[in-house]
Amino acid sequence: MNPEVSEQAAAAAAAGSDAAHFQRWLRQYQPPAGRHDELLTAGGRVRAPWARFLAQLSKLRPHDFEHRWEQARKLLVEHGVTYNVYGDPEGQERPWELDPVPLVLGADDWATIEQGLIQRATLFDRLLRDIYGPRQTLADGLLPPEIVFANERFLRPCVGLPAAGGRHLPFYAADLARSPDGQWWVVSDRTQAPSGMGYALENRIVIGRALMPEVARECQLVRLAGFFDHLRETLAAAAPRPTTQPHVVLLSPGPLNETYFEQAYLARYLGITLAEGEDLTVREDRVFLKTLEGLRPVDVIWRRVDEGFADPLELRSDSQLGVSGLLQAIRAGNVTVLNPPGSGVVEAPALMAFLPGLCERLLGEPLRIPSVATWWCGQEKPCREALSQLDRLVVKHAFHKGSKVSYGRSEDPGGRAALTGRILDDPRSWVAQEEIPYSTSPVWGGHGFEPRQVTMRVFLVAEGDSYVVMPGGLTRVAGESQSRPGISMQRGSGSKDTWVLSDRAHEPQLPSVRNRFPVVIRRSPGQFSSRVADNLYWIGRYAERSEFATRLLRGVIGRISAESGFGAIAEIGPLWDYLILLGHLEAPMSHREPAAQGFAPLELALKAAVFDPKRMGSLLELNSQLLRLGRVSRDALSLDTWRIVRRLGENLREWPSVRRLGDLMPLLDRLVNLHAALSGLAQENTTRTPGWAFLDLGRRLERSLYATGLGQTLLEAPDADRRAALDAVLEVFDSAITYRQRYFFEPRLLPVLDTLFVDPANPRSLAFQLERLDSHLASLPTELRQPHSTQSRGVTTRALERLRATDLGARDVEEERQRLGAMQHFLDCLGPELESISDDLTRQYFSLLRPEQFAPEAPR
Amino acid sequence: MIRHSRPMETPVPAPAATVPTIRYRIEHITAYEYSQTVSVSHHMARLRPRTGPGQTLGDFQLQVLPAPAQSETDTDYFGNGVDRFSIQEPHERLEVTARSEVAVAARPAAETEPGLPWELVRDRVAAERTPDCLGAFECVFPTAIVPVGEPFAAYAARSFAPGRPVLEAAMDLTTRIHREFAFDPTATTVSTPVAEVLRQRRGVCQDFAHLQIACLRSLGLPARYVSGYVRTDPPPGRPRLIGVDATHAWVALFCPGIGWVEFDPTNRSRAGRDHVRVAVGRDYQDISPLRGTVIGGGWQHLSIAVTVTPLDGEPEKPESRAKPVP
Repeated sequence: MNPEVSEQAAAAAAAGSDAAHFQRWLRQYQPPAGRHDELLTAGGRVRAPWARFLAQLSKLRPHDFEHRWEQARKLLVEHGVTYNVYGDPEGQERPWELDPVPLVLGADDWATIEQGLIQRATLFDRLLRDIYGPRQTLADGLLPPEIVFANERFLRPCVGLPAAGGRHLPFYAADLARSPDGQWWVVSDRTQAPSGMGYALENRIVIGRALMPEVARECQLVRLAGFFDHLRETLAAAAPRPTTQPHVVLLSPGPLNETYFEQAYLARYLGITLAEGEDLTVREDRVFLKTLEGLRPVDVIWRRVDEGFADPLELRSDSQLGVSGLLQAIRAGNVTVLNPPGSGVVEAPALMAFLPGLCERLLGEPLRIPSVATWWCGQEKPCREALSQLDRLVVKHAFHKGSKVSYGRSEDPGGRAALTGRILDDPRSWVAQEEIPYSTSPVWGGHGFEPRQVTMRVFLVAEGDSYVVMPGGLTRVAGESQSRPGISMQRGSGSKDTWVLSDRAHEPQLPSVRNRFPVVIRRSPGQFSSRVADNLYWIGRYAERSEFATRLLRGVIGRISAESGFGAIAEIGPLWDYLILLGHLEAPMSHREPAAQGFAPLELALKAAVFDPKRMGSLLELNSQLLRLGRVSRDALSLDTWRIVRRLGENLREWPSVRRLGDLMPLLDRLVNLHAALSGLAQENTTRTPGWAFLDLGRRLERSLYATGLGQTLLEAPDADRRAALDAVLEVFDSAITYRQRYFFEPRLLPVLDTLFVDPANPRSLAFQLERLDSHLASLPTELRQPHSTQSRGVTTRALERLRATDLGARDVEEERQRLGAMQHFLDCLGPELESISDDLTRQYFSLLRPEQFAPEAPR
Repeated sequence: MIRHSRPMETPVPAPAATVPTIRYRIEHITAYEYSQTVSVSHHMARLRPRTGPGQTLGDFQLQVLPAPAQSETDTDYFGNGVDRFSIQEPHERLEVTARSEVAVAARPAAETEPGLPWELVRDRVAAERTPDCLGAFECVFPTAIVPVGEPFAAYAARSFAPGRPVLEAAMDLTTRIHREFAFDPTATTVSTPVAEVLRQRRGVCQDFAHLQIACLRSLGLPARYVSGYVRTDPPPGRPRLIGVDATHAWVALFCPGIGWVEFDPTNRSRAGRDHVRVAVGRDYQDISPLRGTVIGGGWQHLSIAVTVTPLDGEPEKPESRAKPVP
C-alpha cells in the first residue's frame, strides 16, 4: 500500500471510518445481528480505536502479514507454550491457540473497566476480611449465611489468619463480556488463584513484539511490563518482616497442572523461585525451601496450588500438593501466602446476586460494573422468578465453579421440568443467570477478518491500599462463529492479545515503580532447589545416554548399510552385543548369523531401536524422557537449550517412513550434532552453579558408565572380533582422529585402549570423565553431606590413581595378554562402583525430596 | 484397634439433676510404630476435653515422645483445644499420651424438656441472626463425609411427625437407631460412607453418630458431632482393667432457648454424667483426635489405649448396672 493511501486511512481513522477504507481486511466481515461488535458500529462504521489499528495494520503488505504470522506461530511452539488438558489421551499437552488479531480497546472504554474492577476487587477484599473475621455481613442480613456456610471454599481453619498489609485479596481477575448495548458485565470472578496473566504476557510478546511491533508502536499500545513491575513490587512488599531481599516462591502444583507453562514462565520472567509442595517444608513455624545447600527460609509464597490443598495438616489431607504446617506458619507471622487460602469463598456464583447491596453498605457507593443478572434459588422469591423464565437462563451450581452448566433454552419441556426438579430438590445449591449475548470481534480467517464471540479476563494486583490493573488481558475467542468461547481453556478455545490504545485525554500508563535500594550484588547461586538439581542431574544422564546410544547405532548402521555387504558385520560385533546388553536393541538373531534369516529382521530391529516409542531405550524413548525432564526444568534451562531438547524429541517424530537403513544416517548425524550443541551450551553458556555441577555430573557419570561397559564388552569378545571392531569403537568415542594423529598404523588394541580409557587429555576418555567427576564431587555443597556417605569421592580418586599408574605398552604377546587382563579386571570392578556414586548422590542431596505421607487417623 | 464390646440391652436412664458431680481421670495413649525412620513429622491433636455446659476440665497434660521440637496450644474454629506439635528428630515410634481430669455434672434440667415443635426449630435457626442461631445454622449443611438427602430424611421421618417436640423426636430417633442397627466393628472402617451404613444397618459409634447427624440435617435441623469418652464399668466383683476403654462419639442437636442437647445413639441415651466431651465439630474430620503428616515412615501401625477412671468411688446409682459402650 502506498504512503498516500495510508495517510488517507489515518485521516479517516481520526474521524471514525467506514468499512470500505479497510476492504482488504473487512471484505468478508459481517458481524451477526443482535450483538455488539467490537470493530463495527451498528451503522457499519469502524470504531475509532480499530480505525487507528487498521490504518497501521494496512501498512503491512498482505504477504508480509502472512509470512510474519507463520514465523510468530513457530515462536509459540519454540517457546513451548502449552496448556495441559486433563484426561486427554493424547498425552496432556496442547499447543496454545492464538489469533493474530488483537482485541482493540480505546482508553476511555478501558478507564471504565479499570475503575469498575478496582472497586470490585476492593469490595471482595473487604468482604473476605468480614467473612474470615467478625461476619457482620451475616449478622446484618446483607449476606445469606448459606453462601458462606454451605460453600466448601469457606475454609474454617483460615478464620482469623493474619493478612499481610491488611490485604485479603492481593490478586484478582474478572471475566468480562459485553452485551449488545455496549455495557461490560462481569461473568465470573477469580479470587482463589487467578490464572492467565502469563499467557496474556506471552500473547503480547508474540503479537506485539514479533508479529506487528510497528503497528503496536504507532498505535500507542500501552505496555504490559509496568504491570509486572508492580506485581514484583507487591510480592516483595508482602514479606512479613522487612528484609533487603525477600525470598519469593511461586508454589506450583507441578507439570501436570493445566497452567504449568505459565507458572514456570512467570517464575522465570519475575526472577522468583518455582517450587512444588515437595520442595518446601515447615520447621519451627517457618517455611523453608529445600536447596542443595540445605534449608533456606521463604518469606512470600505466590500460591497456585488450590487453596484446599495448601496445607494437608489442617485442610484437605488427600493431596500432597501443599505444605504441612503452612497455616501455622502464616498464623505465626513468618510467611505471607498470596492469595491467602480461603479467598475462593467469594468466587461463588451465588454471591453475585448480593454484590450491589454489599457494595452500597461496605463501600458506600453503587457497584460500577454489574455482574451478569443472577438469581440464587436459596431464596424463595428469586427462585420463583428463575423457574418462571428458565427457558432463557443458564443454571449452574451456586458454589462450585466449573461444574456442569445447563442452558434452559437448549432443553425441551421435559428437560426443563427435570431441571426444575433438580433445583427444587436442593434450591440453595443452584443459581440461574442471564445469558448475555457476547460481543463479537474479528479473528484472522486466512484471507480476511471473521467475527467471533469473545470474553476477556482482566488481572489486578493489590498495591498500597488500592489495585493496579493490567492494561490488557487474556481474551478468549470461540472456535466457531455461532458458539461461545469456553470460559475455561479446558474446554478448548482460542486466545487473543488485548490492546489498550493510549490517548492524551486518558493516559492509562501506569505510574512507574520507584527504584529499589540497596542494590545487592550476588554471585552465589541463590536459591537452588534440590528438585531442580535432581532434574538437571537426570537431564545430564539422559542426554549422555541418548548421545552414546545414537553414536552406537550410527556406528552399527553406517557399517551395515554401506556397500560392504554382510562382510562388514564382523566389524560391529561388540557394538551390536553392547546395544543388546543395554537394552537399546532387541535383535532376533546374533549379528554373526544374519545371512540365515536375511537382512529384513535385522533392519526391523534397528529401526525399532530408533523409532519405537514403546521400547525402553529406543532413541525416541530416551529423547522423550529428556524432553519430559526438560519440560519440568524449564525455569532452569536457557531458551536455546530448551530448543535443542525439543528438537531432539521432534526430529524422531517427524521422520518420514524409512525405506532403507541408509536413509537413517542423515538423521543420526543430525542427532549427533544436536547433542554436540547441547553439550556445548552446557559448557559455554551455563553459569557454574551447583545446578550446572549436577548437570555435568550426570553427563560424566553416564559417559563413564557407557565407556566402562563398552570396554568390558570389547575385551570379552573373541580376539578376531575385537580387532575388527576397533575402527567402529574409535568412532563411537569420537576419537578416530586423536588416534590417527598419534599412531600411524592401523588401530591396535592396546593403543586404542590407552586413547579411550587411560589418556586424560582426550575429552572422550574414561580418565577425563573421572577427573571431572572427581572435581565435581570435591566441590559440591557440604552442608547436607552426611558422615556415612562420602565414599563417592573415594571411587573416583582411587580409579584415577590406578589409571595414572597404568602403562599399556607391551613388549610381547604375553605382556599384551597381561595388560589386557589387568584392564579387564579394572573395568569389571569400576562398573558397580560408579553405580554406587549415583545412589550416594541421591542419598546425600535428594533424600530431602521424599514426600510427606499421612499418618493414619486414629480410628473410632 | 480397640475391641468394642456389645451394647447392653437395658437403656441408661437420664441422670437425675440431684446427682452430684462425678470426677474422672482419663488416660488416652496413641502410639504409632513405623517400619522406617520418620525424619520430620507435624501433628495436630484434639485431645483436650472442653470446658462447657455441665463439664469442667481440671488438670490436663499432653506428653509426646520423642519430645517435639516445638508445640503450641490453640483453640480451633469450633472452640476445641488444639495442640500442634512437630518432631524433628529421627524416630521409629511416636507415643502421645493425654491425661486429663474432668468434672462432669448432670445436664441442665431444661435438656429433659420435650422442646419446641421441630419445624419451628428448623425455621427459627434458618431465620434468626443471633450468634447462637448462626452457629447452629452452620451445622445444617452437608459436609464432605456427612451428606444429606432423601434416604436420610425418609428414615428420620418416622420419628419426626408434624409438630412433635424436637427433643422428644430426637430421642425417638436415637432409640430407633440403637434398635435397628447392629453394633458390629467388622462391618465398617473409618471411611465407610454414611449411606452405606444406612443400607447395611451395622456399624460403630462413629457411624451411628454420622448417620443420626445426616438424618437430622436432612430435615433442616442443626446437628453436631461430639467426640469424647464414655464410662464403662467392670463386671461386678472384677477390678477395673487399664486401657480397655475407647474413644466414643455421639450427637448434639440445637434447640433455641435450650442450647445443644446431646444424644448417644450407640447407647440409646441422652449424654449424661457417663459422657466426657472432648471436641465438637460438624463431623469426625473437623475434630479427629490426632492428625499428622510424616516424612519417611514406611508402613505404620497404630494402637490406642484409653482408661476412664471415676475418682469418687464406684457410684451406687442405677447407671452402675449399665455398661455403655463406645
